[in-house]
Amino acid sequence: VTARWLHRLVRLTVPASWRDPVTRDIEEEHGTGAAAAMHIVRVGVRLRVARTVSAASVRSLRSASRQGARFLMGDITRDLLIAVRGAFRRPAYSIPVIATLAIGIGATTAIFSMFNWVLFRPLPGADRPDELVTIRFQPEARNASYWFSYRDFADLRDRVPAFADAAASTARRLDASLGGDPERLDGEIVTTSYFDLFGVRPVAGRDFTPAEEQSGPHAASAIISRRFWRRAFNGDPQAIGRQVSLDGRPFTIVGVAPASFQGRSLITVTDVWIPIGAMPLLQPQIAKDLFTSRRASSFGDAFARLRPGITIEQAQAEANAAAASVPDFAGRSPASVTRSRLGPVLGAGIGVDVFAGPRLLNVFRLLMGAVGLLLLLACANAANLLLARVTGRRREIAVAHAIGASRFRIVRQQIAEGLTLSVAAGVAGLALAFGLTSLFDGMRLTVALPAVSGVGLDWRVIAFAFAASMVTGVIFAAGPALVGSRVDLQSALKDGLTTTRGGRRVLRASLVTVQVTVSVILVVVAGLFVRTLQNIRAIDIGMQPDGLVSFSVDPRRYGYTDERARVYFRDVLDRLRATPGITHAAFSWTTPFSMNRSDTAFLPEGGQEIVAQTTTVTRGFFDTMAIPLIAGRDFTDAEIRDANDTLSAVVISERLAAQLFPSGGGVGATVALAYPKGKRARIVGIAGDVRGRRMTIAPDPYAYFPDPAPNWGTVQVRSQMPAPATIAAIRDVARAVDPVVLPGDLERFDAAIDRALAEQRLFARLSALFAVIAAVLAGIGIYGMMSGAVAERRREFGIRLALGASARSVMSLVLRHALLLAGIGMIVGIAGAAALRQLIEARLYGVRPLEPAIVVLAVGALLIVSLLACLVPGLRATRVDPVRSLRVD
Amino acid sequence: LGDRQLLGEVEQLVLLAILRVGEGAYAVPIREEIARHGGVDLSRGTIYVTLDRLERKGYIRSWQSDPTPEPGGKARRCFAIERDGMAALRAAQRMVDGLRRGTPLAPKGSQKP
Repeated sequence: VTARWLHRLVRLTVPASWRDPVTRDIEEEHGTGAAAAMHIVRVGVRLRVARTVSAASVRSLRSASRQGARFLMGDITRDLLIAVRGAFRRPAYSIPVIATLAIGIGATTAIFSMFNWVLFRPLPGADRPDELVTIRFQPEARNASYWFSYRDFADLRDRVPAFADAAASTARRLDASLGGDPERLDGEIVTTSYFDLFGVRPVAGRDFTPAEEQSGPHAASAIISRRFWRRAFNGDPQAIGRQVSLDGRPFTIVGVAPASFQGRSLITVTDVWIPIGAMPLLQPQIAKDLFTSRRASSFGDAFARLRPGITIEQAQAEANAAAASVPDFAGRSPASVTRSRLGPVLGAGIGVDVFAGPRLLNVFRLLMGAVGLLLLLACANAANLLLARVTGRRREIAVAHAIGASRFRIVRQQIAEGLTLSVAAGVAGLALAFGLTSLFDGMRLTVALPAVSGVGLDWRVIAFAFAASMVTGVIFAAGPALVGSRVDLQSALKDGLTTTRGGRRVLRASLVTVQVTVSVILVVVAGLFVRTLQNIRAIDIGMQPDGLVSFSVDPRRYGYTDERARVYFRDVLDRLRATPGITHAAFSWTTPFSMNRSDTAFLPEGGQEIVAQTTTVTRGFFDTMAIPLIAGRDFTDAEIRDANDTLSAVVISERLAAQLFPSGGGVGATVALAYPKGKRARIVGIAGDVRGRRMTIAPDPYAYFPDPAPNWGTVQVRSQMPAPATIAAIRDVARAVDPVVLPGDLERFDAAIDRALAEQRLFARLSALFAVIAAVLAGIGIYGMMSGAVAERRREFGIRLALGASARSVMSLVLRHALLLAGIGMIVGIAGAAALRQLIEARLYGVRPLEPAIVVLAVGALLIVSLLACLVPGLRATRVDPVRSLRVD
Repeated sequence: LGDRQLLGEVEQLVLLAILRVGEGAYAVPIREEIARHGGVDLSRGTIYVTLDRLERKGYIRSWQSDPTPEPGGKARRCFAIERDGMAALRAAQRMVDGLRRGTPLAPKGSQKP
């Protein structure tokens, strides 16, 4: 988008009659890149200079050099110089305008810069990033993505001629140790073409070799980030060849990536890369068919570099053809219906995340819409101030008219003034945005992404701020300039009264109305989002998150057999339960708030198959989570031991019970399972429903099976201690059992809930911020308008007071005027908020798009703002001295 | 002749190149023609500025032709010499010829090495 704007700006340097031919000639020779832009600007400037010189007559060129220089600068430059001088001369007028616009431009730029950072900027450290594409693995109809299997990736890489190169990668956190305590790093498992694809060369050591794409012990090599190299090895070149333990297995450090390269994500900073050939070492049981099976092993995300001159459409067509030419691509077979329509979909650039990208774009549009409204409001405010100044300059304008300046000339001068102020505001706004970006640190934009940090500005942001200030300048200056230039010469020159004529008064009133309108919309929207967040927080999720700490652990990653893993969990749970302050501890394979999901199908006699979310648990799970048992009881030791028999005990959720036993009851009943064949489950208890990560949807039916031998999963710990103490106690226990095995995702259970609410929180916070700014700006706008109006009507108020009007009646006159405009703005604003309902309805929970309470609140808030804004001008009106006001002329 | 009718050197080159290129002359082939047969590589900007000026003087006329086949496609700007332009070009050549006669630069036998 910014590139298109820049292109437009470049073209604008060329006089209109030449614009297309020059662009076409140059683009035919130089393409559309930066070189072509330079040529276009050069030709454009020469044409303009030549025309200016020839417009200036020979006489003027011969005359004083100063005059000649002025001709060369041209009218526009002169207009701008006058405008800049004017802005400096009248700071009382220019500073409020610049400040108002800077707030609008700053807020807009800050939001843009945040999304530029996570969505639009090219991948840091990558060579020629414009040639890079992300290959998503997407079903035809749905906007979803799947991971590539290694085989599918390799087929695309080898069969699509448009790809100069391709690589696949999967993110994985790895516990790294150099002999001491392990440290969890963000890592990636990559195909060996990975660094080549991004055009990244190691700054020390070597790149991966193709041999490391074959599985085997020779592939146990690692490339580390420069950051980790400096931190762990102090930048010592001897680090190459050293061993590092990753998830308990020895790897050899073979290279160091350059500091500029942070991996394939715009948000996550990778510290260690290992080749795909090493994956079976880390995960023998999962990766055994990694290189052979298309269906069983999804590997990760795929990226490619297009050959020069190839468009993404050509590459897409070739990728489709390649996918069609492989009979079992994406595991396509008669039996697998669900994945049969998966196809490769190319997207330009390397985004933040293959999965979260589209969702984030949606968030971006909504927030830009909101902040755009704020900018519009700022424009209205500034226009109002400008209009007041135009009114004050009627005489000056009339004189300019009288000595022959055309109306066009006067309008142009005023737009030049507007642009000068808005560009100054753009610079201030950019500085403000720079300050605001630090507020984004630690903010999560959406559930699946890590928090953003270190949002920076780049040329895209600067171009955006510049474009925003140009557009702003034209918008806010055009109206007042057009109205202000329509001057009735005689009256303007003759009478010194600063009366305002119809056009101006209407424009000014409508500007104030627009401000109130936009404020009402923003306040209503903010109210809805804040209320939504409150409502979701207030949802009873069916368990008690307070005092609960959870972590996940997979001992098999460290070479544990299933039997040893079982002993590990038993030890950890026993020690935790024995720790003072900890009241409960239990294992569960997953929880409704985890990303891991599994399901079981029940076959009630004579009924339809019923699918339920499933997890396995150890005894004490329900007490630990504080999930109430509505009927029946928890598992007995014997039931846990016998869980693998053909008849297993099960605790089901209320919702599942209602589906299985519509007529009630259920405890003690036995139900067949769809798989494994012949397995049956006896219901020993019915537990309360628990909501999952998407808290706003109804709880899934849930089934809890006993787990006799947990080998990986999560541990839930309920404690009376504060969370940090619990977390420290858990670390101690884990270290005592086995220092190599690190508990992962160790955090308050609340944290998972907080993450699930990331988007709602983002919307609530930002919209509330926008609403406050909007209300303040609207207040300033109303104050400005009423001050002007009172000043103009001084004489009228003086006469009224002289004739015996009370201060109260004068005050009410002023208030009535302001409230009428505010009232119109409110009504339009409510209508506007109603029109936006489709955009935001999907993001609301527990409130209607025009919730009466919130609308009343918004109207009330703006009413108070309006009244406060009128107070001072109103008081001034009541204190007009009749004698002085009449004598003024 | 007033000095406004005087043609500059580059203007003469451009006018001659338009004549040579003929139908559908536009900036790129005009520049190439001057480079190929005049032996001088004028900058792109010079060509555009000169064309712009010649048209303002009424010596050439221009029209937009064959836009690129896309919505809002860009047209070329083609040029042809006007009658005034031909007259000015001839006058310029005549002036040069008249002055050259009887100088060491004069053509025919006198130009022997």
